[in-house]
Amino acid sequence: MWEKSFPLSFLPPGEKAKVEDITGGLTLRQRLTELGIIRGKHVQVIRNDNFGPLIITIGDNGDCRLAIGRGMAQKIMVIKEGNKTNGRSGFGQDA
Amino acid sequence: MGEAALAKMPKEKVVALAGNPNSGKTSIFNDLTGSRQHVGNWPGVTVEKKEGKAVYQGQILKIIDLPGTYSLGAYSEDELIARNFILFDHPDAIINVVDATNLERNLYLTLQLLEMGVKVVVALNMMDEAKKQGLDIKVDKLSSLLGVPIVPTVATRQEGIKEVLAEAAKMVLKTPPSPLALNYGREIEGEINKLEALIGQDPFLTQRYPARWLAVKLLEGDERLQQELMENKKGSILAQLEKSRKALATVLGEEVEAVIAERRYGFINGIVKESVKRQKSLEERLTLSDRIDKIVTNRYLGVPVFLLLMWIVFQFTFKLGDPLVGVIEGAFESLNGVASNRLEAIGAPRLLISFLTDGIIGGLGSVLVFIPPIFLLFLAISILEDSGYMARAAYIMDRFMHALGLHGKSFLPLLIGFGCNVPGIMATRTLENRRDRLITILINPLMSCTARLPVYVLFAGAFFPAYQGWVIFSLYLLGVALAILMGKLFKSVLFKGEVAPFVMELPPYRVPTLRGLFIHMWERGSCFVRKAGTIIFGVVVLVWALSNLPPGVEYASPESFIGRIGSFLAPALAPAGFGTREAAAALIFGILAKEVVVGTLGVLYGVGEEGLSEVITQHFTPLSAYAFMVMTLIYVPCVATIAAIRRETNSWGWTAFAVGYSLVLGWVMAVLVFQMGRLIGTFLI
Repeated sequence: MWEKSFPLSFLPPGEKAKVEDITGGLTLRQRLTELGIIRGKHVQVIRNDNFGPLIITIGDNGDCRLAIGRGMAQKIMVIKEGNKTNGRSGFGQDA
Repeated sequence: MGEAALAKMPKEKVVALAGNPNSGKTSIFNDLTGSRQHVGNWPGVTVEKKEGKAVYQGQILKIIDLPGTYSLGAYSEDELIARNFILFDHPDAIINVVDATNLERNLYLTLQLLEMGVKVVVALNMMDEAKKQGLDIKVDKLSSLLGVPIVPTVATRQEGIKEVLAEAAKMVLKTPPSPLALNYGREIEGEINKLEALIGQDPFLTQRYPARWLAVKLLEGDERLQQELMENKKGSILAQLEKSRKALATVLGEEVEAVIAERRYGFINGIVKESVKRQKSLEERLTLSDRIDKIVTNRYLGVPVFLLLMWIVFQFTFKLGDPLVGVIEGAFESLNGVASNRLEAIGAPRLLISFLTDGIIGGLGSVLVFIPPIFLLFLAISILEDSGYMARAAYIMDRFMHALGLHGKSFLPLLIGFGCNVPGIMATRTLENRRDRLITILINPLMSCTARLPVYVLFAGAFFPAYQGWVIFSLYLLGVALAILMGKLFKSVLFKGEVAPFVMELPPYRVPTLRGLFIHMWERGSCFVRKAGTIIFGVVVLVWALSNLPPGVEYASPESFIGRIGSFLAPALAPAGFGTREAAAALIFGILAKEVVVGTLGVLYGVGEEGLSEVITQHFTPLSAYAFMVMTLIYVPCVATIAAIRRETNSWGWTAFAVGYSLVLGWVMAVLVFQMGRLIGTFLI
């Protein structure tokens, strides 16, 4: 497990991470808070095409999908968790 | 029911519906109120306000549908509307619609309602889907932990609705509970107490807000409330707030609002852990939605799938709508004929006959021809929205529209604009953000609608027979280019600093219910007929009057008002190469509907539409003809579009702006084309 945090936008599809910090302004943090993205939450990237928005899931509730702009994802700092590549792995990066 | 009858009854009880977007709140509202609905706008804003009535054992409850929100902060217009209604309109009860498959995030809103000390009934919706996902929710346990009645519901099948209504009817008679005081930890509680004490001494504030709630919101950094305190000169409270936030930042080592949010979610987490059991692990639940998304949001397939669906919507709206429009047009033509024959037979004066047939019946006809495409379009949009696809479309198009400074959801309204700007503008309702919505509305008329085609066909055919297709295509392209340019301009000049981050929920795919689709289509479509219809009708009658008055003049002749206005305006059009009375009058008539330009020129040049392509070659040069087409494309949206802009922006100011900017832009572009063309011409010759 890596201890260094990095922006969510760099997390490849299928991987899980823990939210470490949100570096945006108050408005951004409020928006993310009410959608359930707060520090300590687990997120998983479902789709990340390296351009355009990402699709992620939050917490243990795996059925809620959020599309989130790349700019926003750059402001969510995460710490990677153990690689998980079971049936629930994300899709994307089909190439 | 008449307003007068309502006024006589004892004070009605008001029940507000609150809940997250996609929680099924609209379905619950429809179930509760049936067809007894009324759609309007919240005062001063473009957000829809829906009201309805529900009857429980003879007691009438007024149901207000609050905008769908995730929270009650001041993040968006929607949140403020919901919050202010709860605070200042004091509804007698609130039905909080909660998505059972997404409990934690939905309860975040519930918690905020409880912190406000309002009377809440929770409708725990989508219980069927929760079961399918293997969630075992102990409703009684959840109810006792939250301290509110909870009714499980399946809104799409109308299950549990009667029970919700019964609970709400009971709730309105109760006294409000004291606000829930969540423990935010010793340090924060200390500062809350200090602020609360100060607020408690201020009758103005305690009358408006629960003291503790206000204290917490202030610590969270709520800008609206701070602004209000500033305006009302509550310096001592603001000073204490400043001190508290500073002290907490040092003690906690991070932002207060983050800690407050964590405590709330922590509390919710505890409740959910105690009352919900997961019977399937996450890995077993690769849902149907995920499988559909694999194709629909695919990097390569996403765009083709989207374009295919848009093409289907377009075809559905116009291919299916056009024959119906033809039927309506035919019906009104024959009605016109019958009416004028009857009136002539009884010897009515000519002016009266013309007023009744061309004015009144013609005016009604021009409203009704919009009904088929608009209802069909709203049906198609409702299907896309209710099924969950619309959110995916926004996701797919966002990367492209982003480059243009617009939201992914702006694509559909612009595309529909190529068919007709009226439904295009109405389709902007799917955009939540005010700025994106206004920009999309303002640039929509630049999408060259089908009504402008007859003008292009006439002029391009007469002047550029060999390149007709290319000339017409260039006009479409010009419209798109100007739309991109103007969009960027509006964004950087008019809406500076209003940055909206792109984040949206992708709800699971669902099969829409017929009932939901029809209620959606009906309320949006009938709204157009009522609101826009009156404006369209009025302008048609006005133009009739201008063409036929003063009494005794030939229809639209030089002596009629419209002829005089045409002669008066003609010099202004001279720099664009078509400074004639006929061209000016035709453009004025074109405001009725762009295709009318052709018919008007026919009347004014004294030939039918058949001889027109011959005649215009004597009055226009190829260059001035192109400039005239450019003018027709851009200048002033047609009256129906203007009415739609008024209806959708809920503002005469923006409507005037849309008319004004397009008039200026059209004139500038036409002059530019003509003068540049002349300049190039002199160099070439």
